Amino acid sequence: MMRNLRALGASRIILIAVSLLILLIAIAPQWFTPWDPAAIDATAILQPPSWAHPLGTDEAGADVLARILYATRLELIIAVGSVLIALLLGIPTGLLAGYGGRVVDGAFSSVASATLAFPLILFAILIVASFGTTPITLVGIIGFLFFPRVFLLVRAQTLAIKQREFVVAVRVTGVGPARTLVRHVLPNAAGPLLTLIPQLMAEAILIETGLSYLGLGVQLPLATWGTILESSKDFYVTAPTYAVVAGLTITVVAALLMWAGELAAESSNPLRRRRLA
Amino acid sequence: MNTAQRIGFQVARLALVLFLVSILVFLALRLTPGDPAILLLGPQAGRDDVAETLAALRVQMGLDQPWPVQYWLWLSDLLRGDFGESVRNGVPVVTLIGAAVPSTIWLIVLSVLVSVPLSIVLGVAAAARRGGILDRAVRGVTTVAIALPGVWFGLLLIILFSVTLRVLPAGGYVDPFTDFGGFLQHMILPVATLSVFLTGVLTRFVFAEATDVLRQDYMRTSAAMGIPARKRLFVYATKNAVLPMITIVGVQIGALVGGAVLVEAVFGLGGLGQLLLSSVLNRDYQVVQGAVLLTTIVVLIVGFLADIAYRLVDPRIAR
Amino acid sequence: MSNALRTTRLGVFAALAVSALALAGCTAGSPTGDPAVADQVVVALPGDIDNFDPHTNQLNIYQFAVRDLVFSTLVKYDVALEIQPDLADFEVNDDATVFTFSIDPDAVFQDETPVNADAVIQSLERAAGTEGSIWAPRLADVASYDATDDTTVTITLNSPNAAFLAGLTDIAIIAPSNFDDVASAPVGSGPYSFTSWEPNKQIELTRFDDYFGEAAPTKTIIEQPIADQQVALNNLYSGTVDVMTTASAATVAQVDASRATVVEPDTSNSLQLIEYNSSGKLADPRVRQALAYALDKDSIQEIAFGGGGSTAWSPIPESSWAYAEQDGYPYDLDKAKALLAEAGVSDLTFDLEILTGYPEAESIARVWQASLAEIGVTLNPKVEELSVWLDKYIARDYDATWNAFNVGGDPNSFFDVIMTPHLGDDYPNTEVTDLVAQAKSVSDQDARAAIYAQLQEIIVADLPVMIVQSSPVAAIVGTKVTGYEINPLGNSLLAQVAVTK
Repeated sequence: MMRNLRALGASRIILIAVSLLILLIAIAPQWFTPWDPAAIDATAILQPPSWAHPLGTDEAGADVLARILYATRLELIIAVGSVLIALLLGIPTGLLAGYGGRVVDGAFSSVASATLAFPLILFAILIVASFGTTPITLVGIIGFLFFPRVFLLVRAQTLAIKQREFVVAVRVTGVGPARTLVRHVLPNAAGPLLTLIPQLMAEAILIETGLSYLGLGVQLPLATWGTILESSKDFYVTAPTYAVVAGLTITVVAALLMWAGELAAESSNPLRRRRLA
Repeated sequence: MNTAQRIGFQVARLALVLFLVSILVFLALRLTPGDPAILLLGPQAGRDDVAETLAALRVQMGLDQPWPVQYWLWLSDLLRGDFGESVRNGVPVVTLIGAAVPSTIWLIVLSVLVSVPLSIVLGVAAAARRGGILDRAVRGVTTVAIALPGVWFGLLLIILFSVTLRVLPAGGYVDPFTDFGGFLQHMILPVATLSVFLTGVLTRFVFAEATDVLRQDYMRTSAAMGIPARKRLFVYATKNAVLPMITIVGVQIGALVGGAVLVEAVFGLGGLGQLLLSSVLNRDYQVVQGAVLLTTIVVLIVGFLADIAYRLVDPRIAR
Repeated sequence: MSNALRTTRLGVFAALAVSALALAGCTAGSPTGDPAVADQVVVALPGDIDNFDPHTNQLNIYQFAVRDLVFSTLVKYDVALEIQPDLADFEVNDDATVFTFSIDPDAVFQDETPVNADAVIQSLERAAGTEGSIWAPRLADVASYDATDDTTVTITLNSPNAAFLAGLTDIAIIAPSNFDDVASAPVGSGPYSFTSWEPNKQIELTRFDDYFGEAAPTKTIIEQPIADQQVALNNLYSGTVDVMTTASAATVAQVDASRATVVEPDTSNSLQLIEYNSSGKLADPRVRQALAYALDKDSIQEIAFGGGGSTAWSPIPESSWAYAEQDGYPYDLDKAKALLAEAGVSDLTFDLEILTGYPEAESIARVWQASLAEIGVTLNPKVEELSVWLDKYIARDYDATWNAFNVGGDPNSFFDVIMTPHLGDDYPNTEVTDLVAQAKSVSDQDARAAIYAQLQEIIVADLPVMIVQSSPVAAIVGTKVTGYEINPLGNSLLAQVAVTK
């Protein structure tokens, strides 16, 4: 096993370890802090870091570290959920568009273009106004924003595979088109998709941060890193740790996710792997 | 399918998309809770003794008509070039958009103008020194640049340059034709914030392309022909990178506009994003519809032009 | 290709630089007016204004930033919220049914037409009309408007109304030719005329030299919407902004006194309250009282309001002549639990609607939620954008909602604006309705005060609405700013603002 581990390389090991840690924090934040994030204390407002409160307290006297840790779960749910929606919408439509004729492709591509052109802000405000600022609406909004990219990727893969000889060969042997698609396109698309997924997750986190800044994020008692950042922005002069830490968490996790995407890209692209040697 | 037919097909698709978007935004606004007349009058609008006023206002705003009628009225005005007026103050929508758009355009254009050359330089330099410290630094830094939340970075810049060092203003927009120096001063931090992300994305792309170019056969050929290494790399790598960059920027326009909205919010630049935000919150239907359609047109045209430019210049791309 | 790119970029910048130099010669001309003050004052507003019609826009920000500068009213509030003549001296008959106004003969609109009785009556009729005016209820009692001569207007009411003058302070007199365009380009008779509005960027006002009242010292007022208070404060420090009209407690706490001055009124009339739907889940007054005992006002004052403002329970501000102190409900979770048990209520869950953009409201919810959890009550805060909140508020589609209200100079405003809708719907209390009508019709202030004392007792006992506290009001101005005042409503008085050089 050790030889297998070493073959993975130091970067992958670190990434896996950190991911497991984040997952653990999301599942059981109470193991990492004694404080209740909802515990307010009017006598301990906006305090700087101390032994009792390693990252200080917020405007209601709650422990900042606890708030960030407990928000991990919702953050991951939003990131994973929106990517799932994007995959659910993008994969079938991409397959259909790639395999179907010009008309089908044109229709789907038009809808994808329309989605890309429609300003997210407007879409977000209207959805939030109709359905409230809940995690579900956020996941839906971001997932809908991402689906064209999944669509385009799967469509491109499908088109490419459609032309490859072995698909023709398979059809000659009498295997039906649907099974051809599933058995040959999807595995080939898996590589690029695995690269895209962590990238999208990172972007989901960043988009959620932006929406929270505009007041469209989740509301109390729920909290995400984006809403914590948003409430810290009024106090960055008197309590800079509060604002810095919130933004730093987002940056670090998003960067880790992107790094993971990069590593996945290298694994799936033999040329690239050789380059790194 | 020859080029003319292809372009014609694309234009038709553009029109279809615009039509879809117009219906989408019209319906979305009508289906969402919120009444522009009530929003104008405020909490008093619910009083019995204000009921008549409210009803009169709704007629004035055209809200008493059934939706298809409202849509038809709007669409027929639109096709004549009339985008309508704000229901709140009667100011023509184009005037409102015209006043809001310059700062957004400046922000995006300046960010692109800063990011493109910067990313070419960084990407090519990193590709040239593969394996060195610069290589890893570029990869690491671009990852962070893309992962950085724009709103947070903008705030950090304000803390550093406006609050602590006091060398740059913390926000606001100055018209470049009134006070060019002030305009530049006010744009430095917002452009820096928006450029960070774009430079990160473009640099990685340039880096990948430049590295690819390094391996191409003709690089070896030109080495055989005696052209110095650095010049080879720069010229050929840049040539190959810039074309696809057009497409990337074209694709990223949507994200750029979204990013611009946030940067405008952080720095109080009052551009298109702010107009969109405030008119949606006030359910100023005409302004929202007009602004969305206009933005869509611009975004689609930019993408369309980028696509054409790419096809025209690189004949290797098949349908 | 890269060369072409570089050349284009240089070309653009060169062109811009050339045009900038060319235009540099065309900057504003030489200053006029008092040489000791700057030509221009820049004011940072907390938001933008997009509707300039004073008969439909009731927002405070519009009132002090545009209405009070561009328009005159028949009477106005001074900084202590006392009624003073503006356009006209006034006389009221003994039982408050006939009001006579003598218009200042020098008063003139910014389009050079005179402010005469006819013009005034036209504006009043527009404000009273139902074509689109939010102030119609204030003029509902009017029997007739008479122009007894060219500069005298007599208004006769159907029934006595001691609060009529207070109601007139919000009714601006618009130039008759301006009725159609007032929403985008207002014309009044105030000290400043409206010059331009760039949406989300700035509003420009220019001194009106023929103003009938005290001349304004500053030629131009530029108002910029800057929602982020940090940005506004930093601009204040650097000198690009002179006045910040609205500052939260958090911002005030970090002001550097050597670079800026905090201006606060003596008291605040800016109330934050919870309005209940008394016909729903929270119909039992004992339940509402229990919720009141669970309101930790001291913690809320610290957390939401930076320790400022007043935690009094009465809906009438402490500064008012009608204020009668109420004991209210000192924080006591045991009493709260007992009352809930007495009302036979357990596992209560209710929603609290909150308007987005008010961090104090969210803090209130946060603190209240924590206390309520301890007595087994679940509070669900729902933060929503304006149109959603407004729809729910108007339809009374809520269990409880947060609201903010600036009580005007006359105590009637609270009962008229906040209580009347409840009295006609979920809180039909005839005693209150009668007392409110009575207080309005009696002329003697002491008699009125006695009635309002009764009303305050009932409101605090029954709790159809619950006052959380008055929020501290503050503005921040640069060190060289003079003539700036702020009244207890949080409205800036900008007519005499100047920046000394």
